[in-house]
Amino acid sequence: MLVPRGFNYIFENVYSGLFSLISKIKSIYEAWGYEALIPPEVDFKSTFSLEEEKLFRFLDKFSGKTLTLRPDFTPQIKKYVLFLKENLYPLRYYYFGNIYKDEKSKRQNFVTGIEILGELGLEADGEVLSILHLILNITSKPFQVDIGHTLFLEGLFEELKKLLNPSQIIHLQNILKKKDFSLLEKFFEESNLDSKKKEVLNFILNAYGGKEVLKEARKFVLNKKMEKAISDLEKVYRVLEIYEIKDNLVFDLSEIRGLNYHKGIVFEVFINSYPFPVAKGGRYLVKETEKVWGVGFTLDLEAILQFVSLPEEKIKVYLIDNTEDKKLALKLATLLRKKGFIVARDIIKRDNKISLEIAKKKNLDFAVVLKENGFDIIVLNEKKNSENKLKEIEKVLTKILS
Amino acid sequence: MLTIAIPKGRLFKKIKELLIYFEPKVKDFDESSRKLIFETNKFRLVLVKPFDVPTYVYYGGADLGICGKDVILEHDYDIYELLDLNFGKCRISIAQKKEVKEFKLFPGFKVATKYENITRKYFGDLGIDVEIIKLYGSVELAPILNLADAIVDLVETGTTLRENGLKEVKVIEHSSARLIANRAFLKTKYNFIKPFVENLKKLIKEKKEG
Repeated sequence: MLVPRGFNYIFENVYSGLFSLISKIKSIYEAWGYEALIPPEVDFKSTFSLEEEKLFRFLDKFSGKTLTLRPDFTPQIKKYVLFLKENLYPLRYYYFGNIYKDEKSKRQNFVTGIEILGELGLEADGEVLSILHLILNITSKPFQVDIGHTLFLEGLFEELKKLLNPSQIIHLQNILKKKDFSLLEKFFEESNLDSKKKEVLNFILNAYGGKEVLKEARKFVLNKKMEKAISDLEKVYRVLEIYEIKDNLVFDLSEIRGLNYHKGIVFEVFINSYPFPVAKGGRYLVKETEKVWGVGFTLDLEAILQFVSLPEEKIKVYLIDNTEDKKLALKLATLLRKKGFIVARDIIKRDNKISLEIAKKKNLDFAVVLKENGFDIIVLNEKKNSENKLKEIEKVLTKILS
Repeated sequence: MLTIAIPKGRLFKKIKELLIYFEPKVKDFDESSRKLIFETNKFRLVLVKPFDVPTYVYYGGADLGICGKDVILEHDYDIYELLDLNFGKCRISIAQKKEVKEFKLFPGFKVATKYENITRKYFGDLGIDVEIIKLYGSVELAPILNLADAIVDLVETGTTLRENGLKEVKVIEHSSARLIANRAFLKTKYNFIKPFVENLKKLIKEKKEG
C-alpha cells in the first residue's frame, strides 16, 4: 500500500489551487489586521480536550509527556496567549496548516482559521463572521451561515435538571442531537414535564430560520441564560447588518453540538449541495478571572477548493534540443518563461520520437524541437487557443534565430 | 426537489403507499424495474439496498432516506433521525438453538451476524469480546451447523427462527422504519424538507389513530 488509511499525496492541480486560494485568503486576513501564528504540528496532549481515541499519540523522550499531532489549532493559540507576559489585547491571529484526527475518514485535513482574543464584546463575533463571509464570497456557490448560542440550551437544561433525572437528561440530549421528533413525543408521554417545558422543547426542534426565530424564541425564555443568548444573537445581527452581510444568516437554536469548549455564539457554514459543513467556529473562554475571551473559526480548505474557480492553466512547452551548442535552447526557454509559458527541457539523451511520446502522455501542450538547420513546433495536445499560442512561440523563435 | 433513498425489499411497499399521498404518480414506481431512479415533480426516488440507505444520506447522495433503525444503528453515521414511521416493526435479537437451556456467555463465544457493530457493542458492554462471524445471509444456519453459539439478526414474527430450530433469547433493540436526513441538507434545503416532514408527521399520526 502506498499510503496509510486516511492520508494522501497532494498533486499538482490541487497544490496550485491551494496556493492561489491561500494567497487570496491571506490577503483578507492581513487587511483586517490579523497576523500569522503557526503553532507546532506536535504538542502536549494536555493542550487538547478531544477524546483520546481520536488523537495520534506518542511519548516524548525528553519530557516523558504524551505528545499528539494537533487535532485543532484553537487550543494551541489559546495556550500561547495564556503564556504571554504582557497583554496587548485584542490579539488577532490567523493560521494555515494540517490538523490530524484518528478517524475512519480523512485523518489529515488542511485548514485555515482566525482567532481574536481579549476582553471582547459582540463586535468581535461580528468581525469574525464578516471575515468568514468575505472568504466564502471567493467561492462561486451560495452558502449559509447558521448561528446559534450555547447558553440557550444550557439555560433550558438548567431548568430541566430540576425536573428530570440524569439518565432522562442524557436521553433528551440524544433526542435533540438526532432531531428525533417521534422520540420527543414519546418522551413527553413518559415524563412528567409541564406544558411550558414541552412547548419550549417542541420549539427548539423547529427553531431554525431568519430573524423571526429570535422573536419567537423570546416567548420561551425561562431564565437569564436563555435571555442572554437571544439578546447576544440580536446584537450580533445588528453588527452584521452594518457590515451588510446578513443575507446568508440563519439562526439555529436547535443545534446541540459544537465543540465542547465553546461558550456563547457558535456557528457552522454550509455550501449548497455540499453534504458536510465547511467551517465551524464560535466563542470560548480564555481566562475566566480577567474575562478574556476568544472568537474564531476553522475552515476546511480542501472542501472549499472544490468551489473555487482555478487560475487559468499556463501553456506547457517541452523543449527538445538536438543541436551541439545549448545556447539557443537556453535563450528560448528564458524568453518563453518570461512570456508566461511553462518550459521544461528534455534533458535525457534518447530518440526524439520517445521524447515526444512521453511529453504527450504527460499532457504537455507543445514540443519545440531545435535542429542544426531550424526548428519544428509540434502540437501535442490540442486546446482552444492552441493556434494563437503556436504563433506566439513561432514569433519568439524566429526572432531569436534572425 | 427532494432526493430520497428508498430501500428495496421489506419496507418498499409501505413507503410507496406513504409517498403516494404526496404524489400520486409514485404508484408507478416499481421495485422490480431495472430503473433505479424514479422522478416526479416533487421527488427523485433512488432505489438502493437497505443497508446502503444511511450511506447515501450521510455522503449526500440523497437528502433524505427511509430505512430500519437496525441499519442506522449498525452504521452509526452522524445523521438526523427525524421520524419514526411506525411500520416495519421488528427486533434485533439474539437467537440460539432451541435445545440450549440457558443463555450463557463464555470467552470464545461465537456469534454469526451481518450486524457486526451492533453485536460487538452489545456483547462488549456485557464484558465479553465475542468472536463475530460475519455472514451475508441465511444466518439461521450458523448455530445448526455449529458455526456459532448464537446469531444476532432481525426478528419480525419469529417464524424463520422456529422453522430452523432456533429460539429468540434476548432482544437487543426494537426497530421500525425511520426517516433520516443529511445534516447539511436539512439546513440548506430546510424550506423543502420541513413541510415534507410536517406533513409526513401528520399522516403517520392519522394512520396510527386509524
